[in-house]
Amino acid sequence: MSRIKWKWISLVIGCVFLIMAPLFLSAYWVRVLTSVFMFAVMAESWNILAGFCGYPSFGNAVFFGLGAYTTCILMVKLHQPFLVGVIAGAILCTIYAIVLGFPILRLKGHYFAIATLGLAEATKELVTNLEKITKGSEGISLPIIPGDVKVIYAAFYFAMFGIMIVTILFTYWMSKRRLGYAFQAIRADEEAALVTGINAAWYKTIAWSASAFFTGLVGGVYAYWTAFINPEGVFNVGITVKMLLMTFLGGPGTVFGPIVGAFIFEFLSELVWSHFVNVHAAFLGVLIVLVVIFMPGGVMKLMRGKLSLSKMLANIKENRI
Amino acid sequence: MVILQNIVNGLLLGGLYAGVALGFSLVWGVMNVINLAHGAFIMIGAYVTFWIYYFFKIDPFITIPFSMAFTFLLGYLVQKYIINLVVRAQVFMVFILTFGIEIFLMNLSNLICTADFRSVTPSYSGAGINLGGILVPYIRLAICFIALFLTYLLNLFLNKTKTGNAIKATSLDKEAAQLVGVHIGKIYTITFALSAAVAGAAGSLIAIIVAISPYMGGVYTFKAALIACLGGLGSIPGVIAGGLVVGMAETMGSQFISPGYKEFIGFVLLVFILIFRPEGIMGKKFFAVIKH
Amino acid sequence: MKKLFLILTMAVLAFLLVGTVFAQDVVRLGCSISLTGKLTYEGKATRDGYEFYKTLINKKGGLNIGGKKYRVDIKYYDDESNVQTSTKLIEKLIAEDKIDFILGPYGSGPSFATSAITEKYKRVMMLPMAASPEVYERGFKYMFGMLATTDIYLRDIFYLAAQQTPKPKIVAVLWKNDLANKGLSDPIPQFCKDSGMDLVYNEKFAAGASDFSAELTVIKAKNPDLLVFLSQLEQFIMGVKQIKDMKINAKMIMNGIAVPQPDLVKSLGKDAEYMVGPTHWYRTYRFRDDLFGDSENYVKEFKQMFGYEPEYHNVGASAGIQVLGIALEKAGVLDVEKVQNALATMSVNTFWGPIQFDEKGKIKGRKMPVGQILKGRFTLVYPSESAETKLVWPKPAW
Repeated sequence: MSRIKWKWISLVIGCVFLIMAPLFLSAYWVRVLTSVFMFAVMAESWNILAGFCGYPSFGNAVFFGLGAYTTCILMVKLHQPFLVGVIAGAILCTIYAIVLGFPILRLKGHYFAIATLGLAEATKELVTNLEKITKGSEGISLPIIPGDVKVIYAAFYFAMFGIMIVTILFTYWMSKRRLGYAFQAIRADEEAALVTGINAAWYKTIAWSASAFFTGLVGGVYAYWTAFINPEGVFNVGITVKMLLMTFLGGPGTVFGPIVGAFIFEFLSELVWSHFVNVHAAFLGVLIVLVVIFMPGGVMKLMRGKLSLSKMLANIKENRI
Repeated sequence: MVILQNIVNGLLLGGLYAGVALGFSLVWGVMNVINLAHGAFIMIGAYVTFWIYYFFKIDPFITIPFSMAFTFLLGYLVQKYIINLVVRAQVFMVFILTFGIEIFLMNLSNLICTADFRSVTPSYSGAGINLGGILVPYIRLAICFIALFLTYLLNLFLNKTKTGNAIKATSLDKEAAQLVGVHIGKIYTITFALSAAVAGAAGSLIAIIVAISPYMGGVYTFKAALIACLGGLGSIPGVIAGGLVVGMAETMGSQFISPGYKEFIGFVLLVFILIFRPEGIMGKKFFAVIKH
Repeated sequence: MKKLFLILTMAVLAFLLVGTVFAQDVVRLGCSISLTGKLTYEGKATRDGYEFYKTLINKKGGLNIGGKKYRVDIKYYDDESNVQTSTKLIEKLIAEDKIDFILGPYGSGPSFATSAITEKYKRVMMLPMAASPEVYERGFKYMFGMLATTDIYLRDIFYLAAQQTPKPKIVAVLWKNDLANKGLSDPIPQFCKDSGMDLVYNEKFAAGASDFSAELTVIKAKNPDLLVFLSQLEQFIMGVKQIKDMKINAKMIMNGIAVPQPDLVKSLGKDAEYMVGPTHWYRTYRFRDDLFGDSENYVKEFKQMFGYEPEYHNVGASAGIQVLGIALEKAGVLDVEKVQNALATMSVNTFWGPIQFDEKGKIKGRKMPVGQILKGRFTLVYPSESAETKLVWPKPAW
């Protein structure tokens, strides 16, 4: 009982700290945290379809890109305010997921993964070629927001923070409801789930649409935040990979796993960057290998039991051939 | 005339693509592992050929056995001491693992070889057969043949040797194979090592026609995934079919639609095939349902 | 034990004392650059250019700012060839490391994005490797560039080609779909019109493409006199091989970025012969200054220090940081506004040529001399004052 209490207390303290952070952290760290929140949202929403439902999408970056581009196009070409652009972007992503989910969600496992990857790349190529609308490979730049840098940064900080909280709440709410159980049933054994009357197609579509919505939201905010987007940058498969890594680092299929994973991953990257300028990229590779071998359930799983070397070695015993 | 030339181009390209995708399809079909480090092995094979050519002036085609041996060994070690530790975990853990391996190999190569662009340009570059106006460059022809030959050899190996049969058995049903005495760990190691060797060979071939750099591999992993799915996982002949289809689609797409939409067409094709015929062109229906 | 402790303390104190006596003031510059990823080669070349300047200037005792001598120090971060990362790192340099003077990355994309950050913070940004006109369109006050922009890169080549006999008539263009190459290809229809040539093929290929056989087949059927293949080095190497495979015997094969780079000849050997391209700088330039001497001297000393022959990526970077150094000395204080003013009003001559910036931060008066690979070396063929030899036209058949 007291364990759960501690969990909630530390969460509250964490939230308070994060809310107060822009007051005492430098602009750089505010930016880093904003980025963490952004990836946390993406990882969390990826987790809805992948961790809970068991459908790992390798193409979720497509929603990030679509959100970003919709926002930019509406703001630059149609002179719409930012909020309109962002919401429109998120809605477009949801529709995209629903329409394309129809054929693609029928595929399973690796096939689904590759199909979503194909979808993301195809969309990128399409956006790059439709120059009249998207300015193609040149990219779109948004006007710089006038005003005090600190205030602007704080605004984006809270925007991303807010979206992150909403995403977490949604995931939590969903996990406790029939929706969440249906997802997990689908992941465990889809045929069995169908037999018990769960309309798998319907639920999968909801999962992917929710995933698309939140990712599209942060894509739109991101566009305004960095003031410049191009196809290679926002439809980048590296973004999807990051979502994946963070979710697995933290623990897939859990509510807080992806969030924890996002924080750990970003902070590790920061550390490695600043201190190992020449070898940091290779170092990252080694790190990933070590994490997968010793902590395959993610940090959340590790935290459920006791942290010990024997536990980590047991992981290998469990997973080795 | 242009069409005929482009058909030839498409076929030659298709052969090359088949070579690139071969190892990738094997690993996926047998071990259910999407090997993201595939591109890294191709890159390593390319560098081995380059360095041998650079220091000893040996013809690049002759260096192929050396690069294959090197990547075979590397793949063997990677599988035995790294991937085999995780392979029974969730499928996506292995995926991330291979991703980590790829990052490591690419950046290690950057540190060792530096990012200068290199290429192998032998004296006979550009020479070719002229069939009444249709040009068939020797190098491309040789690459196509060697890729197809390797595919043929691999197929022979899988069907006619004991180890090969063991590999096929493992891909069909792991537990049943174990029951008849197949040592899964050893099979996985051999399969991965073979895959790496073939990737190395593909790399050697590519070294003659592209610019080599530490980060060149990613594009090929991508293409390999496309072709493997298209052709059908678990089917070696399917790799040839997949390669040819993609090669032709790209070439024809460029001529009749637009060069800019080339890649787009490839992906749309992939998604279509996955939806309407998920087992690919030549795969068996069995493999479309992958448990995860 | 006590004795040891005492000795150690004395040693440390002595060291510190000596350190403070000989401690020099340092002016810190910051840079986010590609040390890994697709742009590693160009990033490293840029960094070597910066380091070359730093070594030379520090050997002379450093910069003389307001009467005091300042050693130059540069802090580097690796942006992994990723634009998002480079913006984050610039932020880090400014906000965390408190560096006021930023050296730009390689490439128009990252330059575009990172200069938005420096402008926001009102810090000086020196961009030696940005050539896209869009970078300057925003009229940023604190950003200064060292290169001519892509809209004029190829202009003189078309002019040169039009003067040759037999006069070229048919032009085919194949370009990589990215910011820089799009900028290179945009003005070509106008160049063709001005020289009275027909543009019969003008297509773009996806940035990740490696096979051009289909496009080249179509181009070959049109029998072009000028074949313009626009990409960076990696794809140009592949493009040339495939052009040779297809036996396209154009009278001139042109590229906008890669021809001056030594790796082209190293990778292609004899096949690189006769390729034509513009450059930002050439070793026969007669401009001089006190630090680098003239271009020939730059080449000699750079080669001695780094073991390879420099090309415009290295040289442009050195020129950029040199200009920043001159501005710091001119300003007399490490104050951003004064340095910005020094740059905006600058009018000096360095080995790079005359340095003057317009109100948008673009350097004035840059020309793009044209070179051709002859006997395995990038040789200047235009303009005639600096040319080493005449253009070989038409290009001999494959």
